[in-house]
Amino acid sequence: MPSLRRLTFGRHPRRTAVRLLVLVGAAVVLFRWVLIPVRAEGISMEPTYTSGRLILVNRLAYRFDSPARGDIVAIRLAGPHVLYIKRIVALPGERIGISAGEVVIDGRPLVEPYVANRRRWEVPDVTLAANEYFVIGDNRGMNAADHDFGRVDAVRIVGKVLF
Amino acid sequence: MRRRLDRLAAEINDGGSASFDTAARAVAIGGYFTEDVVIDLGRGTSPIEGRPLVIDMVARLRPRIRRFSVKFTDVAVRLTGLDEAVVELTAEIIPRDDIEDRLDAREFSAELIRWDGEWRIRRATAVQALR
Repeated sequence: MPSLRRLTFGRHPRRTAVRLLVLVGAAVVLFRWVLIPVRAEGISMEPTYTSGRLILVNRLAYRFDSPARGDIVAIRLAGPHVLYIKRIVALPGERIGISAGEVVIDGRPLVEPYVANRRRWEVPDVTLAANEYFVIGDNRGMNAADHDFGRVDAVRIVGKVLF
Repeated sequence: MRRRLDRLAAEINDGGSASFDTAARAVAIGGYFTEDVVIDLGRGTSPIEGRPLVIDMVARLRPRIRRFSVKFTDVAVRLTGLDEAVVELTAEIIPRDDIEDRLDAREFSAELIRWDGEWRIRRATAVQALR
């Protein structure tokens, strides 16, 4: 039967140590510069994400691409540690409004299969600037006054939610 | 400037329950602002204008403020003149009972001037991430 030492460190302890160091280094790089773990708080993204759920945000998602409609993104609310998690529903230059709870983009209703319930929110049309996106949570069954949503500057979008 | 802001947070967080403590503490906190300070807390609020109003509000709210502590983080300072600066920071409000990690956090942009040898806040505006 192999010794405890062999079971723990393998036949080549030095190689095991190097592999471990590489793994730890990769994890540090990944979670320091690429992925942000976020704990969702609040109900604004239900049913997609419930409060307490752990979410991973990819910081590099928009390095070479722009955010797209439907993307769930992390938005810097205050400092680098306090983030909103919201969904992009309108893109720069588009005109967006909400009528009887339905999002309308450039005069056309947006199909939103991720929304389970809707209250009859009313938001007047607004045209987004070249650097603005419109973000909103998936939970439209709550009062609009209790739900943070609106135009956000592109620079505040920290990354895209992976899962 | 960061040390000055740390001292402001320490003054806000300092205890003291006697009424003269409250009044003295409010005046001390008022010293961190200019006479004509304007504090804009954002959507749905009226701006707080003038140091006397700041002192008055701190004195009135002190019993409630004692349940929380304030922390300034992510402080970024940009000098715009010899005695003028713009500071971006995050103000975190943390309950003292440790039930929640953080009650609220808000990003502020503040204009500071150096007056009478000390940096004082002339204007503070809550930054609206979503408009």
